[in-house]
Amino acid sequence: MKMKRDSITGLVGLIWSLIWLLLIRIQTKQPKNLLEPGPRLLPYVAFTVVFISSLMLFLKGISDWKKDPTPDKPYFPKGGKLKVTKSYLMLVLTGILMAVFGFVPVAPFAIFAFIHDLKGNSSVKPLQAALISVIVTIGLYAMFVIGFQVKLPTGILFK
Amino acid sequence: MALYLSQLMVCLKPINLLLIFGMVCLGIVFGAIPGLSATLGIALLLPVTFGLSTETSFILLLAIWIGGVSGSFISAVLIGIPGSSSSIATCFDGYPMTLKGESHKALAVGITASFLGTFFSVILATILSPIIADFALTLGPWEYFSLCFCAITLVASLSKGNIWKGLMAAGLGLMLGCIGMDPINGTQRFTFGNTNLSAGISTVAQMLGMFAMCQIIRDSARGEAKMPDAETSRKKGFGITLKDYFDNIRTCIFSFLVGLWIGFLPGMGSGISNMVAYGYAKSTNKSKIPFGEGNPSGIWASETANNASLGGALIPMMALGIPGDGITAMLISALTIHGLQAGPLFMTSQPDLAMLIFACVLVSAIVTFIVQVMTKNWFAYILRIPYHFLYSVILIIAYIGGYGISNTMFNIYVMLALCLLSLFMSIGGLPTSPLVLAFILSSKLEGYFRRAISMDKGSYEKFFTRPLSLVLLLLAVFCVIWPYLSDYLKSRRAAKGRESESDVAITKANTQYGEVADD
Repeated sequence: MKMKRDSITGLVGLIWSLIWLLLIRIQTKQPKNLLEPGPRLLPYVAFTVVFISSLMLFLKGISDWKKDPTPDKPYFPKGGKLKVTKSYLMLVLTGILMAVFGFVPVAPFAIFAFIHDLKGNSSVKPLQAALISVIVTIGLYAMFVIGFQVKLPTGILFK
Repeated sequence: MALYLSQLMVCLKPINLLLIFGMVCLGIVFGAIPGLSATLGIALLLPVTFGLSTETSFILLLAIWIGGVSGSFISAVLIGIPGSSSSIATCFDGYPMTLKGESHKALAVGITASFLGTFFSVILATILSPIIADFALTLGPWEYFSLCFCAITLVASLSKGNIWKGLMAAGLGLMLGCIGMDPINGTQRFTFGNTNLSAGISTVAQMLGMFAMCQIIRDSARGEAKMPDAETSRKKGFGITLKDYFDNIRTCIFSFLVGLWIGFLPGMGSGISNMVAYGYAKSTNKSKIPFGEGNPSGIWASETANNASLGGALIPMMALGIPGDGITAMLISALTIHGLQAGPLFMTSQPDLAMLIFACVLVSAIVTFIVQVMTKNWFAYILRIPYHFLYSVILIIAYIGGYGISNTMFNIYVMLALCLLSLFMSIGGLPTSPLVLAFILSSKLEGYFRRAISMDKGSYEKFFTRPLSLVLLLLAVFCVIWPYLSDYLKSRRAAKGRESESDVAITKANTQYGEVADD
C-alpha cells in the first residue's frame, strides 16, 4: 500500500513509542513511597508526546492522500539513497577501524576515502588527495595532541 | 562596572586578542559557507577546550560564534544561498544587488548592519542580564518548570511543516534525555547495564552526530554541496556612507528591537527575526527600488535583526540558564564541561566569568567588523574552497571530538547512532531544533517539576496559582493551539474576502446597469 511520507513517519513513530512503553517497564524502576511522580514520569511524558504526535501525523498523511493521491517527491535524487548508505557505512567502518588500529594509522585512509566519496562530479587527483590526507592527519595530530593536549584513539592493537 | 572593565582588559590581552582574531576568522569561514554554521564550529571546537582553562575556552567559543553568525550574509549576498537560516532574508535583496554589480555595497551594508546589531544588543544584554538574574532568584521550581515547558512548546509550534512534526521531534528529544541517571533519585534509566550510559548522552556527541556528520553525508547525497561561482571583483572604498546609514535608521532601530526580542524568547532566534524584520522593512518601504530587486534596506533589516538576536539569546542563557537556540545550548554544555552551572546563581557565583563572556562578545564583534572590512574583497574566495576537502577534514575532527568527550570510543558510536537518527528525521521531515532543545531542557524540566511537587507535598496547585507560572503555562498552551487558530482565522478572513469580493462585483455590475445595491 502506498502512503504519504507523513503517514510512514507517523507509523514508525507509533511503533517506536510502543517499544518505548515496553522499555519503560523493563528499564526503569519506580521507588516506593515517593511524594513526587518518580523516575518514570519523564519517560511516560515522552511516550505520550511521541505517540499522540505520531498518530496525528499518520492521520494527516492519510487525509492528505485522500485529497491528493500523488506520491511525495523523493527525498534523495536518483542514486542518492545508495550514496548516503555508502557514506554512512564508511563512517561506521572508520569508527570500527579507529577502535582497532587507533587514529593515526586510520585517519589518512579515512580522509582519502571521504574526499573521494564527497567529491561528486569534481575531479580530484589521487596523488593530491593522498598528500592532503597525510598533511591533514599530521596537522590534526600536532594541533590536538601537542597543542591542546587532547587524547586521540589509540586502538586495541596499540594499547 | 569595574569588574566588567577588568574583564574587558583580560580580553584585550595580546594573546587573547590573537585567539579572538583567529577564531573570528574561522567563524566567518564557517558562517559564510552554506552547510557549515557557527553551531557546527562550536561543536567541533568544544573538544579542543577540554584541556584549556574556562576563560580561554569561552574566548575561543564566543569568538567563533560571533564570527559565524556575522559571516552568514556573505554567501547570501554573493551567490544567493544563505550561509544559515539567519540570512535567508538577506538573499532577497543582497543577491539582486550582486547581479546589478553592487556586491561591494551589499557586503558593506551586511558588515555594518551585523556589527551594529551585535554591538548594541550585547551592551543591552550586559545591562539587563544581572537585573533579570536577580529577579530570577526569587522564582521557584514552579516558574522554572513552566519556563522550560514553554520554551519546548514554542520551538515545536514554530517548526516548519506542521506542529505534530515539531512535537514528535521534541518527544524524541525527551526520550534521549531520559537515558542515564534520573536527576532526583539517581535511578538508572534505559542504560541496559552499560556504565557509559549512566551519565546520559553527551550533548557534544549529539551535536557532532546530528549537525556535522549527518549534514555532510545528507547534503552530499542530495547534491546540495555544489555552489555557483562567486564574483571576485576588487573595489576600493568601503562601499557605503553615513548617509546610507541615516537613510535607513528607522529600519535599523525597528529591526534591532525585533531581533533583540525574538532572540530573548526561548527557542526562537535569528532564523525568525531576520524574516520578521524584513517583512516590516518591506511594508514600510518608500524607496523607488522595490524589495526583492536589490533594495539595501532589506539587508539592513535582515542583518541588524539576526545579529541583535545574538545579544537577545545571551540574556536567558546568562540570567536563567535556559538556552535560546542550539548555539546557546552548546555554550551551556561548555559551562557544564568546565564544572559550572548556568542559571541565575551563575551571575553571582561566577561574576568574573559572566562579565568576561559579555566583554568577549563585544570585543569579538569589533574584531569581526575590522576583519570583515579588511578582507571584504576576498570573501568570494572563501566560497571557492573545495567542499570535499573541507568536509573530509570536518568529519575526521568529529571523530576526535567524539573520542575526546570521555576518552573512549563509546561516544563515537553514540555520534554515529545519532547521525543515523538525524538522517531518518530529515527524510521524515522532522526538524532537529525541537529535539535539541527538548534534550537539553529535559533534565531541568523533570527536575523542577518533581522538586516542585515534593516541596508542595504532592500538590500540583502552585503551578496554576503562582501568576508567572500560570502565564507561562497559558503561553505554552497558546503556542500549541496557535497554528490551528491561525489557520481558522485565515480561512475565515479568506471567506470574508471572497464575500466582499463578490459584493464588490455585484455592486460594480449593478452600478453598470444603473442600479444601486442595497448593501
